[in-house]
Amino acid sequence: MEHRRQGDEHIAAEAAEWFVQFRDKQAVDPAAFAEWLTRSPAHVQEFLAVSALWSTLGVRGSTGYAPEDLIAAARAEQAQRRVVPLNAPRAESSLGASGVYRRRIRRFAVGIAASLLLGLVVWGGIALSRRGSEFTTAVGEQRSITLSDGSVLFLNTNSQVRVRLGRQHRDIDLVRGEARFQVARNPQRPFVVVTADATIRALGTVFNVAMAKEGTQVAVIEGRVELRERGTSYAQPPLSAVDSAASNGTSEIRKSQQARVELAAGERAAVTRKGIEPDVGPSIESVNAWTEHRVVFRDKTLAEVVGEFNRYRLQQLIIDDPGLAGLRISGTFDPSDPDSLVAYLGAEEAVQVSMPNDGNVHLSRGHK
Amino acid sequence: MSRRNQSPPDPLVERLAEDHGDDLLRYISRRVRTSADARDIAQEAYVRLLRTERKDLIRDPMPYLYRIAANVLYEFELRRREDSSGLLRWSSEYRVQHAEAAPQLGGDAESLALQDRLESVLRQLSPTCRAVLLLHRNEGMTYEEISERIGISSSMVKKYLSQALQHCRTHLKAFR
Repeated sequence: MEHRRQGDEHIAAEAAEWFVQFRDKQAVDPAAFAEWLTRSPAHVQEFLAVSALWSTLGVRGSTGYAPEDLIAAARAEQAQRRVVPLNAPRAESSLGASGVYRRRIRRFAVGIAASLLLGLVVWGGIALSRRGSEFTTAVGEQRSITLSDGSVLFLNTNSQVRVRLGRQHRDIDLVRGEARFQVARNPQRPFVVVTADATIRALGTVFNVAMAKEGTQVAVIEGRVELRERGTSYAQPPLSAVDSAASNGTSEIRKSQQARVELAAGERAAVTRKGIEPDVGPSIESVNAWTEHRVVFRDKTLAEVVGEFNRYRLQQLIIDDPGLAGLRISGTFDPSDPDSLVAYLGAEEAVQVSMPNDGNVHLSRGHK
Repeated sequence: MSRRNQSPPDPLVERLAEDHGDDLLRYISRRVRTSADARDIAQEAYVRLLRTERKDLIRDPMPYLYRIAANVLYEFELRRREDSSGLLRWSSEYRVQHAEAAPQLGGDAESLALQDRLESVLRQLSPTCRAVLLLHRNEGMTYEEISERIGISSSMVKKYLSQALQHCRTHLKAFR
């Protein structure tokens, strides 16, 4: 029996492939199939077995899986497969000859100006009717895209989306970065955004989605959206989620309830490893600001501010002195003008700015 | 055994084959599932396939195979009932009623156990495998439609589907 099993597995795989080909009407060469089928009784058996399985799957009745959930889960899985490393390699940057670049970096303002090449904000509306389009922004670039259904998509720095518009669906994959969606109302065509962590469904609304290290952060500016944790509610049929909650106590119940929340205008939440966390993520104010070329900080630590600014720059700000990371600052900055922050920090007594040859801007404690 | 070739075509099998290929398949699958001698049935069907005219087989191979399998099944059951009771007439009537009930999975323990097992096998699938399988099988979506919705090529849809089928087959085999 044991030595037979491997051969049977192989035949089973081929039987499944043949069966799948048959479901695609014009794809089968009947003579080739007849040849395969008559190779051995095991071939006949496996083909009958996969046929029987097909029949059994069909009479099971309701599966507990909604088609839209199945699609969203599959898309999320596929999106995760396609994720690329966050920072584009420097060699690909358009900073130009590195020798020239290095000499300039010693000089404060001019060095910063080099990054303006990338900091150019592209803000043109592009009308689109194509399907399966992909849009990418480089570090420091922003753009707005008008979709054929009238929805407008604002793409922040270093971001990528994939858009597929169909008659009954509007599917957006946020592959990386941050985007704001101004959704044209159309209940017949659900507008669904999928990230590695979350599924967000909207009818007519404006909302912001940012992918951070900790997870996906969603803020609603107008209307309502439904936020779901990826891979929970639709990875398992609803029934089994209830079962496990009942047997494992209340914390499980809370968790399964949190697998899906509705957010109204002004509300925000993040999907992290811990599940859906309300009131987490960038504030509505700062979410509004980025589409107006502003970055707003209210009493944020220098570490947070630097982290945000670095999203817009290939040239990174680096905090050398850990004691400095907790310094609190407030202000409104224009990300297309990166030296505004550096100039601001340079004026602070507590901070010393230096630019060694590594191409980055280093911040250490001031000795003034 | 010698009358195997001249055995009269089962009227039920004939009718099922005329109506829908699906009903015929359902009839076979229920019996293949419940009968311990799936291997013997396949063996016998194989022998008959070898005997058939090649051009008959390749005209429409899948329904042809199902019809042969259904006939083999019919004869196997017939023989078994003859052996046990000799009441051919009764068994034939019994089979017709039974087969008509077959398309729906009954509430019997065996069906429920299978359903449970299927649910857990489906849960083991990757999200894409599960989506492709259920969207095609239960929602009737074509490969093209699935390809468009999930954002993968049609040939990847087929690959995921046969992977899903093979997984289910392997894990349900252990159940039998």
